[in-house]
Order: sequence, then structure tokens, then C-alpha cells
Amino acid sequence: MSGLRLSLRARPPARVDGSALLPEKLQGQTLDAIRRIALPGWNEFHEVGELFEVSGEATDRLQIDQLDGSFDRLGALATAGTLVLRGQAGDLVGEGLRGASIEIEGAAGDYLGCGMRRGRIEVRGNAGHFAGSGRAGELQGMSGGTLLVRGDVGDRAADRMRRGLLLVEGDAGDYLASRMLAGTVVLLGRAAGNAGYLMRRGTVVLDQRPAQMLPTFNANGRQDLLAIQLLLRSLGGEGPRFSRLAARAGGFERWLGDLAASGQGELLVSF
Amino acid sequence: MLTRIAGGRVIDPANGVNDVIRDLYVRDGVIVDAPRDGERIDRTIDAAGMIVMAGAIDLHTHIGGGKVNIARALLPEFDRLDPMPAHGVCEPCTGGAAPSTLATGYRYAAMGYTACFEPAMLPVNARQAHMEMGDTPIVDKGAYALLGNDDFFLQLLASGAEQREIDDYVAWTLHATQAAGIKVVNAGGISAFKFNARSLDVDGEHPHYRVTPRQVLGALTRAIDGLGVPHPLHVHGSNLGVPGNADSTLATIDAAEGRRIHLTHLQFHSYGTEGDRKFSSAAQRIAEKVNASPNVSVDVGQILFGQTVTCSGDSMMQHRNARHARPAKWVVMDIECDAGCGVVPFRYRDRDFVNALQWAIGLELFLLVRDPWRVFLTTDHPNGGPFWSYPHLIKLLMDRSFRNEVLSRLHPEAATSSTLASLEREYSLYEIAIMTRAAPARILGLADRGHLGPGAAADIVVYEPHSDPEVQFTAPRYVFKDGTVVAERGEIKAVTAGSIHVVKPEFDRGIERKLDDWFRRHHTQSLASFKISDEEVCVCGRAPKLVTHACTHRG
Repeated sequence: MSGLRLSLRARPPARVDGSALLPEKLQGQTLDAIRRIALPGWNEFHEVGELFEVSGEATDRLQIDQLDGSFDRLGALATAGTLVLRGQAGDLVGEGLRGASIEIEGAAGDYLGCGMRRGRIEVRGNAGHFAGSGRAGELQGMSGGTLLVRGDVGDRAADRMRRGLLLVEGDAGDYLASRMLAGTVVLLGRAAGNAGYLMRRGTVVLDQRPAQMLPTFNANGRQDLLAIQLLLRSLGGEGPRFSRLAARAGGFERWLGDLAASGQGELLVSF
Repeated sequence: MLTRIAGGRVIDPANGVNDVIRDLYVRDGVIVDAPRDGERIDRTIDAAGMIVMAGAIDLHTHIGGGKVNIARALLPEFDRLDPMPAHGVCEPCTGGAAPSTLATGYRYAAMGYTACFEPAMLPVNARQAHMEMGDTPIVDKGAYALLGNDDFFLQLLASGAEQREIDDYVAWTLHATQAAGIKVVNAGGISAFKFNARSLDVDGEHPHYRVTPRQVLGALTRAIDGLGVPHPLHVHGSNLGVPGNADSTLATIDAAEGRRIHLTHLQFHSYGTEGDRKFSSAAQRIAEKVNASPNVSVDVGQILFGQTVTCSGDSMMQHRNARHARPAKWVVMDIECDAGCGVVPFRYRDRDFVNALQWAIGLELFLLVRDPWRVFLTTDHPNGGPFWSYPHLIKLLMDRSFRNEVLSRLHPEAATSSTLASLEREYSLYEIAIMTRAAPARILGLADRGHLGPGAAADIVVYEPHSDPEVQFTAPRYVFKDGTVVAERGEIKAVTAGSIHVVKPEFDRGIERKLDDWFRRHHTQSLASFKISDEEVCVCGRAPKLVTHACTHRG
């Protein structure tokens, strides 16, 4: 496999900010120079060479193996290239992503793809809380790009989401799409409580009836909307479960809300 | 231990010393006379060719109290953009629009500031404010207690209480809150806001108490003079930020009737209504009045372009400003009926007409107020801009061509609507030393700060001269705090704890009988627990020393 490869060999003593490990920044550097890059920990810096075996050649593809969940902000603000993460990725992977592609062959921590604007993140396993949301203080969550989670997502996925696409094959925790501003969420599994809480606009497609429907959503009847058909058809390339959803889509129960906010959002529930 | 700072060019306006090459001697944190022959000098710092000044003093910077914490909680996204990782003796912290206490202390000290005064300490918040300032390392601290919008005071005034009783209440507040002065914010206006008023002119009546801001200012300036408090009444005027508020500012000066008064962030109070946009500079009118009124001192509250957050006790005006919040989120709240609190994030843009003109008005004031002993360098941190932009501001004052070059890049009408481009004045190093050291120490009554004579605290800054003042003032070669080298070339070398500065005028404790009853009926705590003792303020303020300044000012 071409590209640069980092393989974790020692667990760092505390969490480490891995945001310097971007393919676009490392590309063209020598392995020795890369080994000397200092990553900030809580109270000290750690050189890449101390933490990782470094091999390969620094191209626009970077693979990090044996991750143990202690590296945060991997791929943050990346604009180009491909980052492959194997093992347990930490929190804030792909924060503010601006165009690169991140593949996680394992699980991701909290705040996956929060504030992302462009690009694509795909997780084979589960993601933690606040996937596709924004960090504390931000007025908006993710505002573009595609975030695909094959496993489950935790609570507050797509919180304050502004634009873009969040696709989840598994289940979602509480408060899916809470305070959503706009954008699209497609959930193939089951949403726990309070889905769409205080959402203002946006579309949430639910392939299963959620555990609870908020009383501030109004039933809008069964609808077969062309726009949704086109949306689901466009997801055919994201795997067989999405193409099955598109194939049998004969319409959805449409719920409008959250009327406690501006109420222009929609939950589309398969029946 | 005796330290010699050898051969520096000393600028010490308090003692009339302008650029004289001499040695300074420091023993046990204090500047001392030259030792007799044969006395051992333990350490010599070579300052040959360098400029030596006293530590700078910021007399108006929001570094403690509820509003700063609210600003921090409101804007964590800017903290994340300005991380300060652990480095040398410094603990990790964040800067941002509302910097952490640690960042505040480190950045002030690295820049050669050794004392900071929090201008808006709500009495009911005093304990928390002192704790927060105690968490701010290195620099000395002091605070002005807010009065003039609290119901006890307004009731006294409305019921026609004798001035003596008001004096006692003011003095009691200084003691109880461990303050260094008294500030009034939008006199009576914060209280009027709670009775649904949305503005209050200097001669407007408070809708409930039927008193006017003019009466509030009169009573408080009389109290400050009567008690001999060194710092004049610190006044945040009426109608902050409103076009045409220059009239209110002039009326405020008149309300003092010749008694001492300090007008703070004057830039926000010097607006006219001329021109197509009904917004213009009134700096010239205001500066003329200030020049002609020796009882008046001012600080400017210069704005600088970029993201900041405005934190004020003026809930009336912050409620009005909230629609300009950027990012669009804000907090306006009451704090236990003592005064108010408004936190509105702001981004000053150089291509915006209003912001560009505000920038020009601030500089006009600096240049048109002639006496550097009566005009102080502030940005009203963080309201007009962060304090770490002071070196840039000093360059704007010292370098006319730089100033005009910046002006030419702003919204073009800022230049045509103000006189700034025509002002030729350039501040000298001596004048900068006055406005940032000697004058603030004098106006705060700090006898042992702001100068380099024997007996002064050894708060000393040694600068490497540079043709660019911004470079020179950003990272001094050495900063001494009480004799310890705390920073070198902008890097913190030692983290010390600063003292707390207070005043304690004499008064009749009989006022406590009335206050006790008031506290019983209206407060959430008892009078006894409201008061902060000397011992407590040193513990919660982490201060090695409580410095009490004499209240001997007369007239």
C-alpha cells in the first residue's frame, strides 16, 4: 500500500492532539523530519518518532495503525488527501474538515466530524456522542460534506447541523438532530428518545419508527415525495442497505416540527 | 540581596527624570538609594543602551467579576483558537476574546505591565472578583466598587439623606468590598432599565426614584472628595455608544461642579449626529472641554479591529447593542439588584464606517487632550480590543505616518468625517511613560508604584530600543515585579503573586445599623458575610500583601 504509515507502538501517558498529522502537511517530508514533529499533550510534547513506527513515503495518503483512542483531532481542518485510521480513533476526528477524505476502519470517539464543511468521513464501526454536531459555543454543527457511520451513533448526533449529509446504518442515541438548522440525516436503525428536539428546519429520514415521537411534532400524513425518492436513489452507492431503502421506498409518514422551535423540520418515518 | 540595573536610560516622569543614564539599585523588592562604597552588589543587570521605566499600570481593564466569567462561558470557540500550551514556568491556558486568568497575568507581565485595576466590581460579587483576580498571576490588582444603581443608595438619595450618610455608605462599601475606588455606570440608568426605561439622560428622572443621574453624580463626587479617596469618581457616562451622546458627556462633566471626576472609555461617549449617516466625531468638542477642566481625567477605550467581547455593567445599553452581537449570542442580566451585566460579543471591522470612525475618534481624543497626566491608555479590555494590542496602540500614537497609513486602509469616510489625518502630534517616550506609569499611579494614589525613586516597589521594565515602538513595547528585555525578574524578551521566567491595592477612608460605623436592617429585609446574605475582611481578601485573592493607600486627598 502506498503512502505514509504510522503505527502506534507506545500508549502516550495522556491524551495527545494529533491535528498536526495531516497528509497535506506531511506530504513530501522526509521520514526523519516527520519523526521529529512534536505533538502537544496535556503538559508536554511528544515526538512522532517516540510514539509511532514511521514507514513508507509521505504522499497524499496517510495511514495510522493501532490507534488506542488517545489521539484527538486527527484530520482536523484537513483540506485534501486521504487519511486512514485503524483501531479506536479518539475524539474530534475530522473537526472542521474542509475537503479531505477520512476512513476509519474501527470506531470513533465523540464529536466525529463536528463543524465539518466539506469532504467525507466514513466509519466502519460506531461513533460516540455529538457526531456531526458543533463544539460547545458554536452556533452551527456540521455545515457540509458527508459523514457516514456504518455502526451506531451516540447521543446528540447532528446537533445544530446546518447542511450536509449524515448517514447512519446502525442506531442513534437520544436527541438525534436536536436543534437542527438544516441538512439531511438518514438513519437505518432506531432512534432513541427525543429525535428532532427543537429542530428548526432540515430532513431526518428514519427507516424505523423512533422509540418516542415528541408531542411537538404534527402528523402530516403519508407522503411520497419525489425529492426524497431522488435523495435515497442518490445514496445507492453507499452500500446495499441504502440501496434496499431506496428500492422499497413507497412513501413515508411525515411529521413536522419541532413546533417548540420554528417547526419547519421534517421527520420522515418508513411504514 | 542587592541588585544593580546598570547604565540604563532612565525615564521616570514622576521624578522628572527624562532619559538620564543612571544605575538603579533594588533590595528586597524595593528600589533603594545607591549603596555606600564597599557594599557588596550581588547581581548586576547590564542595561546599557536600554530604556528603563517603572512597571506599567492599567487603570481600567476587565479582568475579574461575574461578567468576565460569563463572557468566557459564552465564547469558548475563541479560546480554542488561541491555545497557550504549558511552557517553561507557565501552566497551560487559553487566550481568546475573554482570556483566562492565567493568560491575563502572563500576557500583562510579559508586556511590562505590573498592576491592573478591575473597574466594575459589583459589591455583591466582590468575593468572587477578588478570587478571580487572585487567580491572575504576577500583576498587582485593585478594583473599583460599583455604586449609583443600587437600591440602598438610590433610596438614600431619593429620601433626601444628608451627604454625610452617603459618605458613610460609600466608605462602608470600600471597606466591605476591599476596593480601591468607586465607579458609577450609567448613573441610575441600570436601575431605571429595570423599571422599563430604555434610556436616561443626565437630567432625566429615574422612573421610580425620581432622582436624576446629575444628582447621583453630584452625591458620589462629593462623597469621594469628602472622604479624601485618591481616585476620583470613575464614571461610565450616560448613553454609551449612542450617536449624539457628546451632549451627555459634557453634561456629566458639568454635573461634577468642579469636583474631581474620571471619565472612562471616553471614545464611546464622544459621538455627534452630523453627516448623512447621523454619526460623527465629537472628539474636538469633548477634548476642548477636558482641556479646560483640570478636575477631569479620562481614559480612552480605544477600539482596535478584530473579534472581541464587550462586558459591561450597563445592561441598559448592552440590551440596545445586543442586535449587533457577532457571533449572534449575548447575555443581559441583573445581578442581585446590585447593578446589571451585559455581555455582547463584537467584531470591529475596518471596512465598516461606524467602526472605522470609532477608531479615529479614540485616536483624536488621545491627540487632542493635551495633558498626558490626564489621559490614559486603555482599550477598556476586552471591550474595545484585547490589552495585548497596547504596543500597536502605542505605535499609532508615536508614529504619525503609520497612523495615517492605517487610516488610509479603513472605510474612506472615517478620514473625511474626523480630523485625525490633520493631527500632527506624535507622543514621545516620555509622554508614553507618563500616561502608562506615572499618571495612573498618581491618580490612583499609589505612592510606591509608577516611579523609580528610592522607596518605590521594584516594578521595573527594561526595553531594548527599537525603531518600531510596537516591537519595543511587545517584549521588553527584562520585567521586574517586586524585584524578581518575571519576564525576559516576552517569555515568563517566574510566576509570582501580586498585591491587592485598597483604600480605607474613615467613616461613622453607625451606618451599619441601617444597612443591617436593609440586608435582613432584602439581601440573600447577611451583612456579616457580605463584608470581606483583610485576612480573607489576602487568602482568597492569593495576595502576599494588602496595600492600603492613604485617603488624604483634599479638594
